[in-house]
Amino acid sequence: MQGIELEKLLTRVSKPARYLGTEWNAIHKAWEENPVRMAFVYPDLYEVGMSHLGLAILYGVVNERPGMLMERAFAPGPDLEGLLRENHLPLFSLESHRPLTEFDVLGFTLQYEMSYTTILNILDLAGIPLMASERSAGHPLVIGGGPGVANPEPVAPFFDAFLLGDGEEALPELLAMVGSLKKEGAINDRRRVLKAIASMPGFYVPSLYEVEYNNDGTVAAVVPREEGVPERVVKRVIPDLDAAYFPTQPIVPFLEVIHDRMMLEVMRGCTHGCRFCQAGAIYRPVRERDLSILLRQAEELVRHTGHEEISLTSLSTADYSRVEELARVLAAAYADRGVSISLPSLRVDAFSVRLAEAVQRVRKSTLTFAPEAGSQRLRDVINKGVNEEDILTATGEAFRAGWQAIKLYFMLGLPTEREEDLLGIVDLARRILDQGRKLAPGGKPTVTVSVSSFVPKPWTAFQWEPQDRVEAIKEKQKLLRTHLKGPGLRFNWHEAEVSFIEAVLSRGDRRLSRAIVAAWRRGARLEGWSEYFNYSCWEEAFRETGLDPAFYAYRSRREEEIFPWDHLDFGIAKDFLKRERRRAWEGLVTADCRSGRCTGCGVCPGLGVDLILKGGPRDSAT
Amino acid sequence: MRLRIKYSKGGQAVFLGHLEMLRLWQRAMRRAGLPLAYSHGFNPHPRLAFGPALAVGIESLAEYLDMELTAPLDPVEVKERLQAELPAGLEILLVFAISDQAPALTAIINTAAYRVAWEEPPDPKILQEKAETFLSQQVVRVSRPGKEGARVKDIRPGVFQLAVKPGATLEMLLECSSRGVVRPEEVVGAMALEGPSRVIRTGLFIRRDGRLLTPEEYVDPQFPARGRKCSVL
Repeated sequence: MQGIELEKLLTRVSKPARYLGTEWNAIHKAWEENPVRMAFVYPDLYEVGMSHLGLAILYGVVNERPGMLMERAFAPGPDLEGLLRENHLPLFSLESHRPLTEFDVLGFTLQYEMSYTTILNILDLAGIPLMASERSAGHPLVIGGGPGVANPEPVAPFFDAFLLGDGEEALPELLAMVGSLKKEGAINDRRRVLKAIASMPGFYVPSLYEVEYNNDGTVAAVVPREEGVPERVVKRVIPDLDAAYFPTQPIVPFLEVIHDRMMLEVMRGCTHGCRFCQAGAIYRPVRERDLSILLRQAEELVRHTGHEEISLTSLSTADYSRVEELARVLAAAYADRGVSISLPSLRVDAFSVRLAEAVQRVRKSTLTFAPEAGSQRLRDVINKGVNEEDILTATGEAFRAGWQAIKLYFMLGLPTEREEDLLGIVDLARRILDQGRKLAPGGKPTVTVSVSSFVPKPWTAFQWEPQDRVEAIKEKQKLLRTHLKGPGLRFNWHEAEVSFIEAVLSRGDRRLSRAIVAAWRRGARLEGWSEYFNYSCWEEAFRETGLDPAFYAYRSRREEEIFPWDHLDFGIAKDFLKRERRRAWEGLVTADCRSGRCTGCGVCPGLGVDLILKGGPRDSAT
Repeated sequence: MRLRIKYSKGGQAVFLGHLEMLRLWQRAMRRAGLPLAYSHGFNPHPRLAFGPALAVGIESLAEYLDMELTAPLDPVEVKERLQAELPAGLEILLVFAISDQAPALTAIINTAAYRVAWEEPPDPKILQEKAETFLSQQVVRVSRPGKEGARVKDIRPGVFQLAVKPGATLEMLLECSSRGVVRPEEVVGAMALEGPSRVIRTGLFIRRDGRLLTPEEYVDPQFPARGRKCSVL
């Protein structure tokens, strides 16, 4: 599979630079000298996967250690997939161009539900049985991580193990264990290997758990099948990011990837407590990095990559205690070296806009805010913690600073939503447009309203709620479309059917794995791309397997229902979520725990961790 | 200070397109810590100017690139520092200073030489006949795909030389200017030959008054008299 053969294929595909593996800073460790070999597999195209910070972190952390190596693999484009199948060639890793079957461990990241069929396609292209139960001695261990493990049950039968939580420490531990089992010659004793993994903190081996169902189709219990397998698997947390590995020599892609910039992770976690947000729940607690460490990492990144942009990444970068200082120092330090600073996520407030103003030389681009809901009542229900004054102050500040294009993110179909909430979106968009015309005379302000459909997620206060029916979502989209017409207004929305499948999978159980296989057999793959998503694959898959998607997406769950993911522990107390749910119905806002008042989510005492905030004069800036 | 870089492109680097090359050079220059001159405006970027674009999949022995520095540096040092930052397949052959007034590469280069080879080479005799037939024609029309459908173009005036070499390879000297470009595959196609397995751009030239000059020979805006006669093949 090496050398000339690949090159011949590459002359026949679009974007061959996806598959070379010789990008700057790519690590090619000697195969023979590193007996533990893992491939990190991103179940989407290269341009998406290479934008993922988690890959860069784990690639660096594993390759830094002696005796182990990590290579990369991505979903091939449809043209290369066709050539591989036609020529009976297996999918290969980028660095050594070896078939994926030659690795000891394949690690998939579960970033979004719509990548699940692509995981199957990759296993199939690699010549690996889809079902973990059908794999035997000599097959790689297939493991999964990332936010999808908040509820991995729909894909559980495809995986040998999952890692819950942060991987910087846990993954090298796993590989070291695989190494010692290999040395002992015990690696082919699959049962022993799986039991050993199950005994490691943070690792969940789904085949060692039995799922029992009630007559009504809900889960009755998920119990260990044997002794020594923990009843609950608790997620791993890096307690202090300052002590954690961070990649300052990441791969510099040849191709322009989706997020084509250096990533400086200023903190992990978010304290806002928006009630729909899964990331805000499962990445708790907030851990900020020290300013001096970030400045050093930024310098190393610039020196090692030559990139022209540093992105200050996190779930809510404007919350980082010393963000102002960090942004100003970086902007000043790199201005003459052609390196700009970007903030991927802005809070809806004037502070964030001033921050963006201070670092971003490019004013012509769009400034994006996420009010999420169109009325104050609904924003309180979801605990967004933003009022209309905040929004208009922020957009006003943006127009005054010279921005002409504002983009607003909203969610449609939120619990308790009524027509007036939707009309509130329209009203808000129009008022912002008027504001722009007043504040930026002579300009041509535009307001883009981007509306996604609410998908209820595990580990959130809304995990019990039904999703709006596809027809209802389409009606609501139509209502917005009719009202959001006119000069300066733009409207875009997400395909309702995609959100429906996401809702089915996000709270699904193991039985759904059959539907995922059936959809893949009908051609479903790369479904994060609208041009490849084909709803009929799923309709037929549900029909064929006799599974009712409405049971998963549209059903209102009882509060005492046992969920398919209840044996997993992300530190969030279910009682806290129930309390948050009740507060949502009452329209009560719960304060950010940064302010010092503990909301009782259970993470810190449950996981034995604490918030790490770096102080600093954040509030004096506002 | 303006510097002109001559480099070769081979191995897996042939799969990098023009935009990828631009990004790659910009980043290599930044990593090398060179005092780059940046463009003004909202999104400053290093001022680079490439010679004629090279299609993906084609090797080259002579690609050119102009860069601009804010402080004078020894071209030999620039060559070393930049080479250390380049991925496999790209090799800097030469770095030399040019005057601020020197015209851009794309303004002077008008000719490209190619070598074309096949894994299963055609019969040299047949190849020779086909080459002679091609050269004897006054007009050679090829169809060129475009945004608004295919367009027919006469490539014959842009084929300056065509010669069969030992090992059944084909060498050609083709127009490569702002006025027109003939691609080696078009010539091969017009000769009714199989698609070649290997295409190498062997040189880029300034062709004027029956002479061929390489860009390194042509550094002075005053046309020097040291050009070779019009035959590189």
